[in-house]
Amino acid sequence: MGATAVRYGYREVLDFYFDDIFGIILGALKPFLSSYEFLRRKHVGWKFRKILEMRHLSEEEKNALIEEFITCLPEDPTYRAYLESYSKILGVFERRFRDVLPLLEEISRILTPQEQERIVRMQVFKSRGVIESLRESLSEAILDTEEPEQAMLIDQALALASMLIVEALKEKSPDRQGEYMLGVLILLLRVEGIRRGVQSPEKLYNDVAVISGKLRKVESFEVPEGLAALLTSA
Amino acid sequence: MTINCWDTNLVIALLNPHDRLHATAVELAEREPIIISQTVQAEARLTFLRKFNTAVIEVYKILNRARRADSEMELQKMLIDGFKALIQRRPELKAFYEYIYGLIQEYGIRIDNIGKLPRMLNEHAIKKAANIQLPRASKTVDIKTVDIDDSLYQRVSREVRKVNFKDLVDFQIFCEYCSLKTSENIVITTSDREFYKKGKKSLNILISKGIIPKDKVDVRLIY
Repeated sequence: MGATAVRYGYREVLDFYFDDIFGIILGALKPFLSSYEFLRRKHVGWKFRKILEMRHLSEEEKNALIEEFITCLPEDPTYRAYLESYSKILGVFERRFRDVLPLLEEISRILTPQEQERIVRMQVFKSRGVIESLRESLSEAILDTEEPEQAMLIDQALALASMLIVEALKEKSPDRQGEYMLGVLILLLRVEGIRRGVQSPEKLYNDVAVISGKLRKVESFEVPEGLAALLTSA
Repeated sequence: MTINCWDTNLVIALLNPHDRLHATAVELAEREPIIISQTVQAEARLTFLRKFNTAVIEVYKILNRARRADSEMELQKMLIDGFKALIQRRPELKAFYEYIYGLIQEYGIRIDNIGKLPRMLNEHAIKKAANIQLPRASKTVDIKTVDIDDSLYQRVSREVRKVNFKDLVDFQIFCEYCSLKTSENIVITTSDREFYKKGKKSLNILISKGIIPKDKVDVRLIY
């Protein structure tokens, strides 16, 4: 008997990419967690082995951390609520990894501003690569899945995350870069929440609507007749 | 001078030439500068995305069937038949479906790349939604980002919470407009009767508590 082809949906795709998404979330929160190779070249890697261990957290530790981050996600669709949520997420990280904080502080003194910028940029490049790869897989699944609307919304959220990363790379001001990466962080955590069945797609719709307003305008505004009609159609 | 603050339904009317309030919205926008809060902008983007997604889901069903085409010619026939059926079912969205059909053809659809089309369409949706914050249906529209007095916002929202607006978004829109950092008078314009009634009730509370001066803010109903 031949094997039966298995249909796979967006949850299976997201399961497959969980480790990568986890890496992006940590990277968006604390980019210097990816600085070990730079430190080793400066012959101080031995002092920062704890940073390296962060890459090898157990599945249970990763899940517990993400679940706690998800509880900090904003309830209200306002940018003010997003900033509060970011502080809470940061608080969770700092409480769980107290011993890592002084190391991250020290790294910011050891690395030159140029090296720091390079690490952030590499982290951002890597994040974009993962998101684009995830979207490739998701795109195939959208046509297969029995819940196309959720899969489509998740892909739109990831498309937005990818566009925010591109903007962050163009941006010189660290504050503006941080704003873009905050958007990426919220979107990815919400997607993770949907995968786990603890967050509603409605919330992700709100996130996309609020966060997409932060994008730099890339084209002149025009409303093709058909798109305009959509706005008032039932 | 008066600052005119719009509710979401008027922004949508301005964007959509087929909206019953379109002419009124254009006339208002040409007559006086308007301000649109970030919450209203986000709500307009949300409305657009929901409707875009509802309509595009039907396109995905056509694409899914088209993956089983035996030849490129059959693929094109399946697409044409599928879109014709969609337009018959939703004639009011004819132009929209023709627009999507055009995007798909421009992408160069083939049997082996159909799986990549959702990706392209989803990116398109996000770019369109992002641009909704800059509506320019009329050349003279002057839309600015609202600057809000945070401490006033806190006091306003504490009092207005008791009024029970229809939803959180309406509540936020009202509070944001009442908390603008400006010495000018503010007129909040809406075509939603419930928003109008709740807005008037909230204004009475805010004035009686001395949070905003009498005549500083008004709510106007357009219908």
